[in-house]
Amino acid sequence: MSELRDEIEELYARYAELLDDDCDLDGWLDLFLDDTRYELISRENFQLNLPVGLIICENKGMLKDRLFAMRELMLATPRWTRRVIGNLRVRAMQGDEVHVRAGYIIAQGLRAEPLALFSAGEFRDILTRGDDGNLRFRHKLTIYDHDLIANSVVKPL
Amino acid sequence: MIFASFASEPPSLELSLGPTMIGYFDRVFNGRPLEILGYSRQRIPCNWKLIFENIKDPYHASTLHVFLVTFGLFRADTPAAVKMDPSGAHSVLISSKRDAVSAAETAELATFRKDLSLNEPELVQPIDEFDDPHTAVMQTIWPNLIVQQQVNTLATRHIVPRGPGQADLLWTFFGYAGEDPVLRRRRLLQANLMGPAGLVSVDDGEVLQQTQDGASAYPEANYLVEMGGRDLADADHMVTEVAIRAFYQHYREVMDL
Repeated sequence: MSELRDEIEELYARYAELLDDDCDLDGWLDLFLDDTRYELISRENFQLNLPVGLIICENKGMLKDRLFAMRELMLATPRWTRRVIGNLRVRAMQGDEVHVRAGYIIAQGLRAEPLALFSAGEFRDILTRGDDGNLRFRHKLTIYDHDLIANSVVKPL
Repeated sequence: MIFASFASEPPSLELSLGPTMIGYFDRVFNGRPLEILGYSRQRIPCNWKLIFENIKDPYHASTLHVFLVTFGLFRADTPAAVKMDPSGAHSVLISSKRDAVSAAETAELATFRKDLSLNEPELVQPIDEFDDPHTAVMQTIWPNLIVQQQVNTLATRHIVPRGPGQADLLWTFFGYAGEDPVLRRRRLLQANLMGPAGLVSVDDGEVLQQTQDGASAYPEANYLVEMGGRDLADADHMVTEVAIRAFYQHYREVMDL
């Protein structure tokens, strides 16, 4: 169990590092299986069982499209982010699936403005092993707690 | 859809919107039962009127929204119209499918990025659902409501001013009860274009913030950028800011400016 836990912690640390560093988003994409599902949804919609999210990607291709749009097409003021992921807990093991919950907090800075807390919420994820034996995201469900967004979500959370 | 007013005897919706605008309103709200698909909420650090201007300005889409242009959803020569009610308070921007001839021209013009394609092309492909060729109908209802049909996304955007320098934009996405699951899935897919993380809408939130930053840096100064004349007539193209002019004419009248 503790080996598995180490592996999961490593996966989430890589996830945070690759998103915050910004220089290897393709590496970030590699943490997802091809038939992954990525959802970013407000606590409000989640509780009301409403399907609209800020980002819904039905597969890795759509996630790829979004990263491409983010880098090449979107107009957005440059910003840095720093995320901390914690309270990792394995909730269930079902066949080859590991169900994980975790909490996150993301700080963000915009131009010369002071640091601001940008988002807080939870992950309810399903991990499985890819062909190379490494754990990857089969389903990434991010529920943000605050409903109201400070203007834009440019990078996936 | 419920409208509220502080007036002791408010006019009817039909009277308030006028015949042209009520037609576009009824196009979406045609009596079929609606089903809420979700909400999104964002606080944009800009004056609330800028958000309204954004939806009354058809021209910016062809220059700002590179995603739409890149994947063929929009160009400045897309068949289009800008219509207003007689007061100028409400307006609608309409864009439609191109005919076959101009589609061929587009293919020629678009070659500079023909290497680009989406892994999920349905993100920008409409399913026909109205009795007209309109791919986008963006209606602004005085003073703070936007009704949008953009491809297959249906939504209202409600502007709530939070002081002069910021406003909340509250999105309500909806569909029709009992609709075809294929159409429903398309709506949800295309919701990725919209809202605080929208592949298209992010551009708006960001540029509105930049515009506000630019304007508020010089509180002692006035500046004016004009495009395309001074008249207030409906237009059959996108290269016009006539709906913004009409809005401010009405605003100045109401505000006694």
